[in-house]
Amino acid sequence: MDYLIEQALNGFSIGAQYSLLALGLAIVFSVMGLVNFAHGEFIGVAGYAMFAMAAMGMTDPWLLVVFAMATVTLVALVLERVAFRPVRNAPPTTGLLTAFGVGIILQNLFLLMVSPRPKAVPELSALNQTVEVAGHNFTILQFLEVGVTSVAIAGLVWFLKGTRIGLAMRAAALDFTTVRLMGMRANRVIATAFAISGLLASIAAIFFIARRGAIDPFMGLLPVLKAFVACVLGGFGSLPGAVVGGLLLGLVEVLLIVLLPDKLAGLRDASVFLIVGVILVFRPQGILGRRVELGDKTA
Amino acid sequence: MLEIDGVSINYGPVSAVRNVSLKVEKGEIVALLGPNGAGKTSLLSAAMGLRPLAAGSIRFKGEDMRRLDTESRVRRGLTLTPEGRKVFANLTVLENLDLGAATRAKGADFHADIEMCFELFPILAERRHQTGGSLSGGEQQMLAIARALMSRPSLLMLDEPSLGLAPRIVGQIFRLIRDLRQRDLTILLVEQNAHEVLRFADRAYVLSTGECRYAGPAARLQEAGALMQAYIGELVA
Ligand SMILES: Nc1ncnc2c1ncn2[C@@H]1O[C@H](COP(=O)(O)OP(=O)(O)OP(=O)(O)O)[C@@H](O)[C@H]1O
Ligand SMILES: [Mg+2]
Repeated sequence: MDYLIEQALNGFSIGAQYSLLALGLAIVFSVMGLVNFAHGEFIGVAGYAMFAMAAMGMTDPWLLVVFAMATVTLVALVLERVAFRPVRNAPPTTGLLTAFGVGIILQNLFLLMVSPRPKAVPELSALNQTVEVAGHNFTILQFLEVGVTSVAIAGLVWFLKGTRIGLAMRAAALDFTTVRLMGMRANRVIATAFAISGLLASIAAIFFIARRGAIDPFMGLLPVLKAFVACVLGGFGSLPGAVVGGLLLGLVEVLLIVLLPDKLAGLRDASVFLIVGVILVFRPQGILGRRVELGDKTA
Repeated sequence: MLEIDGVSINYGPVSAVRNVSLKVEKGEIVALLGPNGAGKTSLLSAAMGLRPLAAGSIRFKGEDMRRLDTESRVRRGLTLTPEGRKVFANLTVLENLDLGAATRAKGADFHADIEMCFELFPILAERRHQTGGSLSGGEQQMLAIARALMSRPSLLMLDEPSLGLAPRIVGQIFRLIRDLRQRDLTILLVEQNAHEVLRFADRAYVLSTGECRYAGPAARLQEAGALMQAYIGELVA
């Protein structure tokens, strides 16, 4: 029982990271129809930004966190400006290829400028200390993951409902032309979407790095894939769907850790994708997605 | 106020509008008529900067619009209620109005303007927390007009506001458009409902297959019905 409660919180805290990443993917997708597969590289950007600062002697964890968040948000804005704006009106496949290209360039930058091998970033490891609450063992990090993610989501909801640019982002998901007709600049709406996706990814990145205590050039690959799966699971393009999909994915993963014997641990990711596949057979539009009528393709 | 001069608009190799000139003076209601595919919507989109011009120029209040983006044109007092209303279906009535005022600060006169919209369209006040998508067609058209008014335009362009509405609602909308003139608004009205519109418009233009076929007083167009039939088919009896 103890074990179950501890693992449930673990599931939520891992799920929270996926939710943050999935939200960023979904926000950019909803305003400009781009699946930004370079999104995972924001984790690398956060990691190498912290690594570089620590190497220069700045080891205060709070400063590192703030620096990483600011850097990722800035990088997201720069990428939008130099890589994604020029292909904004191109066919979707062009945007997708651009995203892959950006991802590969960033990975190679990490690789060439630092090292192909993992590097330690131990400054945030203190967060892994266990604390005892009502007889259960948790880590500080787990509470932070759930707590900070909740605050971030609440902040995002406020932004989307309470500010004009937030309203524009919601409206642009369905009809960008009319948003422009209101006198709202497309550049501003899309840049804001990228900034928010970067900010949310940087929070996920900090938790990710705190758990691992190390960085490597390809650390963003699996998380972006999981975030993509979370989006599909929740209903692609739906923001609540991204949150629900992320949480569900985290819980399923932890459930498999609990259930699968150690010998089969290698099958964990495969099993996760299998379960996701089964869910999608029954709800092809995702959990919160709306059914899109694509026409009957049965022979 | 608005001077469209020798404008041509293309969609790739397809020419939608050819060498069309049109003028709207301050305080006028000008009707832009013509059958499906005549190029009316294309012309209004170009005036808002949503479509590039292949030739010609567009001036608003004496200023060349060609170098200005859509936002700047809205800021200068040009507004379009688009074809098909295009109400933001996932936003509430209030949020729709809020976005309509995107070029203005959210000060005291913003709230006064919301109240003004609710006075003009009491049904919108009742539905203020409902989403745009849940409104009826007529209510959506009212919301689209109210949303356009929130930018405080001096020239309001309306693209087929009667489209798909019951005759009673159409009458209501047209009455409202006439009343807007008293609020210091100039109006450019695109319609296929030529009959009704010619009764209250000052001047009219007829567009057909991308070319201008008539420019002059609305009244004369009503008389010269037989002549116009040749140009626009069954629209003018
Ligand atoms: N997005 C587009 N791509 C290609 N051609 C277009 C596009 N929009 C309009 N056209 C063409 O341009 C011409 C003019 O269209 P437009 O919509 O301006 O006409 P309209 O007078 O508004 O017609 P309606 O009364 O049906 O609204 C038509 O021949 C149409 O096929
Ligand atoms: Mg039209």
